[in-house]
Amino acid sequence: MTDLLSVEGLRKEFAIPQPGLFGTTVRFAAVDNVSFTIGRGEVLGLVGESGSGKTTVGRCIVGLARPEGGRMLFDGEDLATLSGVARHRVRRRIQIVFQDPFSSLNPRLRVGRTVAEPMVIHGLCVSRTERRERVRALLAEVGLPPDAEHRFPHEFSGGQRQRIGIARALAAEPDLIIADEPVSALDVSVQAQVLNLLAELQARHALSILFISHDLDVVRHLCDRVLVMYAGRLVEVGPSADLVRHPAHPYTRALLSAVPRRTTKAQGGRIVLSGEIPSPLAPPSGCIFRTRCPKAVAACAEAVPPLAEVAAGRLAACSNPAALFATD
Amino acid sequence: MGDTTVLAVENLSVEFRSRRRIVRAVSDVSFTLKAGRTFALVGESGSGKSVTSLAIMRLLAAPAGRITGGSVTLHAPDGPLALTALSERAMRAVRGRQIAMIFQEPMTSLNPLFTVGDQIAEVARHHLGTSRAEAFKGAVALLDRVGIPAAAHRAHAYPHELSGGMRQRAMIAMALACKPLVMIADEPTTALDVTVQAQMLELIRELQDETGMAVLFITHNLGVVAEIASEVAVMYGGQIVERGEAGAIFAAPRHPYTRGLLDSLPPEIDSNMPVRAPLKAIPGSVVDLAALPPGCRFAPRCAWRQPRCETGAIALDADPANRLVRCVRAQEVA
Amino acid sequence: MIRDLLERRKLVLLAILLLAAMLAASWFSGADPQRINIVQRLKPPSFVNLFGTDDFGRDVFARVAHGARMSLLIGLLVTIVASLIGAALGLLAGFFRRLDAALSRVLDALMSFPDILLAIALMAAFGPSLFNVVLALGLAYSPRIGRVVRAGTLALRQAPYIEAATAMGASSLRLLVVHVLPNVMPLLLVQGTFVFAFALLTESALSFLGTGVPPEVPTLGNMIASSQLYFRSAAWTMLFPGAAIALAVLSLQVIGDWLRDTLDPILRNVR
Repeated sequence: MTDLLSVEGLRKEFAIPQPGLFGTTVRFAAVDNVSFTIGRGEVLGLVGESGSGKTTVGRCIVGLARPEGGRMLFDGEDLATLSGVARHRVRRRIQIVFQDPFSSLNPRLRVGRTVAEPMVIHGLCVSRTERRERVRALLAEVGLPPDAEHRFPHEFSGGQRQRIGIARALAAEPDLIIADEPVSALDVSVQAQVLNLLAELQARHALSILFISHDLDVVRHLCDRVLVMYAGRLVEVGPSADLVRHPAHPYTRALLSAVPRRTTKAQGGRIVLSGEIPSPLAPPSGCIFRTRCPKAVAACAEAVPPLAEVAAGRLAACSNPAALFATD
Repeated sequence: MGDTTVLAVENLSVEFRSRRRIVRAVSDVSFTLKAGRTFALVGESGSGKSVTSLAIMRLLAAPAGRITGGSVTLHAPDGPLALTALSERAMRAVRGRQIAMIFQEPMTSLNPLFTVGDQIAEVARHHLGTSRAEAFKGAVALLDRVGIPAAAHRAHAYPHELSGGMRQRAMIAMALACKPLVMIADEPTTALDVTVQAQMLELIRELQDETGMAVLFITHNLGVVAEIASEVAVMYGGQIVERGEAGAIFAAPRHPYTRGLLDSLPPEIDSNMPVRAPLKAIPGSVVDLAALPPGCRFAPRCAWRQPRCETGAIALDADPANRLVRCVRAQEVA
Repeated sequence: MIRDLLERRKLVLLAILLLAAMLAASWFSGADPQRINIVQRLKPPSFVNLFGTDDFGRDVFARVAHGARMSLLIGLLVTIVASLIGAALGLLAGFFRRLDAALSRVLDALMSFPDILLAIALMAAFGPSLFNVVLALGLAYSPRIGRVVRAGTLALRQAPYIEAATAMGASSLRLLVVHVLPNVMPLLLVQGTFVFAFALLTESALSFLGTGVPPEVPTLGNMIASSQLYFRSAAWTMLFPGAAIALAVLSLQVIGDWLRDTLDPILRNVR
């Protein structure tokens, strides 16, 4: 079986206009040479801190951003070159769930209308009665009361709104859902409900999910595999349980050691990184992480390390073999 | 030093009134802050944790929000001060001088039109009457102390020229300018990345060791509480439902809400739980402060609920280990 | 603060009542606004002629009542024309980046003329008629609507629910009609109320200058224009239509301010 989505060498640039009347615009790469695949029915985590480019990757896949380079093969078709009818057809199969449940629903549409929108747009369930049936079934599936369809979004709590957003995504009968931080704006006691719902729906519909998050606990819990991004580049890929227990890349190790823990202590103690993510306008030569890396050596400045297999099923981009899987 | 009470909050209650409804945001909250210790208030949105801190600072939006009962006493070196009875003018002398506050989003609490150095210096000049040059020198030293590289240079930067982590550091520097007795930190790391959050928690701990200030740390993140606090109060629906030593509460929660919250979290990263194993979610959503149930406020969502929970208010009772729990079945929950 | 709000709601109610009364007064005034009675010319207010009579002996109350209705009608029509043109330009400029530069310059160019000058120029070109006044003023005020709608659309384009619909594959037309327009309607409504008030004033000014509605149509502006010669000796001929304009404009401003504060989603969330 082939992969559902295969991303190869994705590159997305942004332009920043410099201030002043005579300022020129400066371009920088928010996502640089990112490659990965999502299998059918796989939940893939994408973690990184702010400025890592993780959200931009998701936006490129759903078509909210147009990449400058690379290919995105969805079921064999390149998303970047599709147009017209073919593009519209593929759009239906990739849906997105947003972080903020308060601003991602049109405040002036009743919930029933919002959930029916994808069906109208893609000509699913053509008759009105059929569509209503389907809306009701979807609302029930995500655990909302039957009268929800006649109400407006502001009448619901954050968790319920996120359920509406999920029902809307499901209405298009997608194969792939991009979930961009879907639980990070929710109350702690409500997060678990939504995570359970996502897991349940994923299993029932054999969905592929790209789960974008900064919360490593959540990603470890929900995802089969994890991608770790830093400053626009992929630094590590691997099965989630294994990667979290035995991080290969020095950045992944630092990230994991910084996660606050309730009962245990991080193995090998906390690695506190000095400094900040380098300015994307003036990235360092070679490895993007070397300026903060506790394991940096001379070789790191010479070339951008490729993402290479470092153990079975594990990929990491690091120039210093001694730094991989180090335990100190 | 550890046992000197610096701030005592007793039976504090706060209400917000609007034309249509009364929101009882904080009900009967009591705790004490001790020198050199960190006390955490944990809760979700609408739990009353932030309103409690605003009430301590007397920063509630008047006239809608007001303190309806209880007292806040600051034990300053020159005698106790009843903050709830102070005039607005006297209170202004306390804010920033004896009690400093840092917020979640530093961008909104720093003035975009002044350099960070000037803003920090201004606090010292205002409260301590330090000379301009002296105050600016002090500001640079503070910025250096909170870990801002090239502090002498960065003191001339405007807030928007600093990254989120740097701004948060600058705000901590401003809070420290008058060597306060108490620092209130309202979700100071929520908007930050985990690696920056780790730096920030480390910094607050170090500064506390140096200055001996008491810290009131407000957050919804239980992991952060476990890292930084010695004592914790869990709030739900405007009340403290459980209060005690942080480690003990995390090891053996006694209130169904605390227990439910800890059980509902995804397992910690190095756990062996299989992927997507169902989480023990708490059903329902957070209680509406304008429509509180007559009995226990958590009862509608509680798995240990009994008929008596829904009729009368439940008291916050102490157990032999000095843990306070607001539940009639606390012994069974543990 | 609660008391303030109540007071304000009373004020808004009063404003609405006042406008309704102005519209309805013509049906109750009894007298014919056009009936000339030279014997009774320039009589001060009395029980027979509540607001006195003008230089042709016509009843000023009846004329103010009819004039107010006509002026309000013209104001409303101008607002509708300005809203249609402005909303279309604003939506397109705000939504399509490629059109924005060109359309915004058009709006800026229209904006940079004082509206009264623009209206006079257009009237001079088209000739005086009711239809032309409405068209000229509608065009002159369209940028005021257009700029607000453009700004609202620009802000909304970034809103997650618009992005959600975009990612779903919704067409541009669908995005504009289903998702953007209903959400900029409050802005449009508020701005429309202010345009209504301005249009009322400018129409009066145009009529006063003799470039507006033909003089035989009783509008408030025309009445003031024809009373110029007598207002020293017969102040009522100018006072009452003037007061009607002032009250109508004030009422519209009060309603507009209130709408702005109640409909603005940001302000509403704060409350």
